[in-house]
Amino acid sequence: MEKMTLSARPRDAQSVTERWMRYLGFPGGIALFLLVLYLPPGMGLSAAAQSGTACFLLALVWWVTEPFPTYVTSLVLMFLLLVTRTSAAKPIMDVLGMEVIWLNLLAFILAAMLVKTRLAKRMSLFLIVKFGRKASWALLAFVIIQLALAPLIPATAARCVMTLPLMIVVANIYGSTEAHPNSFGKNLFLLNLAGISVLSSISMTGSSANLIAVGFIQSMGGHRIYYMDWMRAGAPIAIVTMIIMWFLGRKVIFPIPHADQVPSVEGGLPLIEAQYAAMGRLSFQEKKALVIFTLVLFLWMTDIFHMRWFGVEISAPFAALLGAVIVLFPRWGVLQWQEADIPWHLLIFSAGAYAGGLALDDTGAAEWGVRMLFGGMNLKVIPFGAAFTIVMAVMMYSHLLTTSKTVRTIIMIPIIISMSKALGWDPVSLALPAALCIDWVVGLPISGKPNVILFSTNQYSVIDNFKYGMTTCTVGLVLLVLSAATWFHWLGITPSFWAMPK
Amino acid sequence: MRKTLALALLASLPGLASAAEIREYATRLDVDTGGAGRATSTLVIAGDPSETLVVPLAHGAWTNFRPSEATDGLRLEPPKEKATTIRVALPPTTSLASRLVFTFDVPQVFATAQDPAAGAKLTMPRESRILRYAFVNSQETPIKDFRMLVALPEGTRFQAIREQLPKQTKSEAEPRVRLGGEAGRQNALLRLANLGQGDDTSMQLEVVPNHRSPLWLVAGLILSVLYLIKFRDLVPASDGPAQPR
Repeated sequence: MEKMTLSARPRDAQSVTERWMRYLGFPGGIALFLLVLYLPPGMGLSAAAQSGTACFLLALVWWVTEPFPTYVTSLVLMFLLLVTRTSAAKPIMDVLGMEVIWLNLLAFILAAMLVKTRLAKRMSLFLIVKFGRKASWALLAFVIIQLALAPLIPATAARCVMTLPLMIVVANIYGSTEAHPNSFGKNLFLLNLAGISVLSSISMTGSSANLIAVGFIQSMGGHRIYYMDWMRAGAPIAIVTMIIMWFLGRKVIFPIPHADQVPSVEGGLPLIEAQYAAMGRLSFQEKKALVIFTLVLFLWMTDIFHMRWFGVEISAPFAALLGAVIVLFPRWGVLQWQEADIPWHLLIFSAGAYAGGLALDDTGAAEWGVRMLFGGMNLKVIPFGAAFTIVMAVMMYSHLLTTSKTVRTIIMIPIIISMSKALGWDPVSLALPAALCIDWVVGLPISGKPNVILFSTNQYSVIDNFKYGMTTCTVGLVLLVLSAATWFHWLGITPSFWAMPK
Repeated sequence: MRKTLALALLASLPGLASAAEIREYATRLDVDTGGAGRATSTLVIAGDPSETLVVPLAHGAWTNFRPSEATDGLRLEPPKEKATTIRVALPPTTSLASRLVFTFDVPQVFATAQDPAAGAKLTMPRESRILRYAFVNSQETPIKDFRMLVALPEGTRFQAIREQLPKQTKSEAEPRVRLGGEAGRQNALLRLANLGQGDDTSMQLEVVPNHRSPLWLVAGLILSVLYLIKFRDLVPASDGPAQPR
């Protein structure tokens, strides 16, 4: 429980299906690459965009089927982006210096601090003693933690980093380790992933991409969205989705066997209670860790005041960097460099994923895909409810093809506003519900920063992530459509579900 | 004091300040296989009757300038060789928007890769060509909607958009340069709204032959076949334990 390793050991294929997927995934990825590369060129697509799409699809197939470890696929992708002339060398290499990579690196130093000082163990034991008599309650406790943190810390990666040590220790208590993950572990990590992402859509300040969407709705749609307008629409959907996923996850997607429903530590819950009691009062090292973590947390939570206070904004990675400096400080710190378990394979995986995602964005391939999708549908002959469903589905699932919420927002929201105007609908009726989907980036380990961080724990596979993420998105989509017919209509956001375009 | 008041009054009189504007300035440049282009510019101009405007030309290096269509009464002073502007006098009888269409030729649209000096590296493949285009509204008449479309010859396509300026703002839904096509020819449309005097816009695109090297296909097939042979142990006949890799 005190040791947290995120080793680069590739997962073994567990079932016959997985082994077949590995075997066929390699040629399958190459076949898809060649197919897209040699397709007759789309007129609106540059050659770089076409080859970028081919490279990304190859990597996507390999990440899902895992003929290679995911980080090797990332390296292949980076090489392919260069030799197909999709990107120049510099932008590909620069990805390793991106904010998300730095945040990952620093996050693991902070997590190692919490684990080494046993503060993570203390907090996890407390959580289990209070709420974790049953697996279901332990999982629900994490939903509540994420719900409480969402309005306080807008940076999803920061929220992920904060709660990661707790997740690892609680998973351990329920018998789910990196070497032998079980259904509880899958539920725990994926429920937290969903919670971190989905609950950001509760408020318009939940992420910077939300605010960009609000800006578009005002500048292009001519409607100002107030804080409560967003919250009234977004909060019920996000919270109900999380409750449904808490239930569906452990009952349907990854059913937790009876044996894993209770802590699997030898001696059971009484031993955990005894262990918690035996920890006694906070040690000096724990207090130090608590102070450092509180300082970083304080900087994350108060970023909007930094300019006023310090004349400079200390962004999330730099707040973590300050924490890491104190943690590693000779004599006064709590860690030595070799004790910080930094998963370099994860950073390489992230770098490749981001290089691929950026290539799709920079070459215009992502935008072209969305335009072709909407352009190929005749939304003028169908009622509002049907158009709403299509637009929301495209918005919800489009996160699979990009790694940046901001870029997706900049591509999608203006298109949706223009389309609403062309169809004669109030832009808010489609753009605001679409904006509520911005943060639902839960489908793949490359879809967002928390996804990358949590995937590194080796507690679930790409397919597990896809299954859980797609279910979450589908639940959200169904709730959005139901809301359009009822709740949103009563709030005055949407017209009648059966209204036809003017 | 009296002088200042008089000046203010003069400035506020509607007839004295020019209300002229170019509502639309659309140019289409069709490039042939040799790299030469034929351009057609269409202007929609509004202003006071008989007002004379100076309009910047959409392309600097032109030959063979020919007016082809104009609203009755609109007068165009043909530009001298290497001129960068044309003078247009609006019809004397109407203040409605006037239309003017003219064509010109551009001898060489693309720049090609230069052979580097001995020992230096090539910066792009030999078969690549660069399309550079820039427009500055050098005159005082504002342009509400500026568009420049460059249609490539058959057998070529855009490799990438290397530059598109000014940068797309957050209130703009469209990118500065949009790729499209018609009749099997790819084109790039540069678009900017509300160009005041001194505003400029530009694009730089790389153009390549429209075919892919068969080497990708060969390499892909060889790798796939080799993998399927060498990694057969991944799928044992029975559902045994996973094989080490």
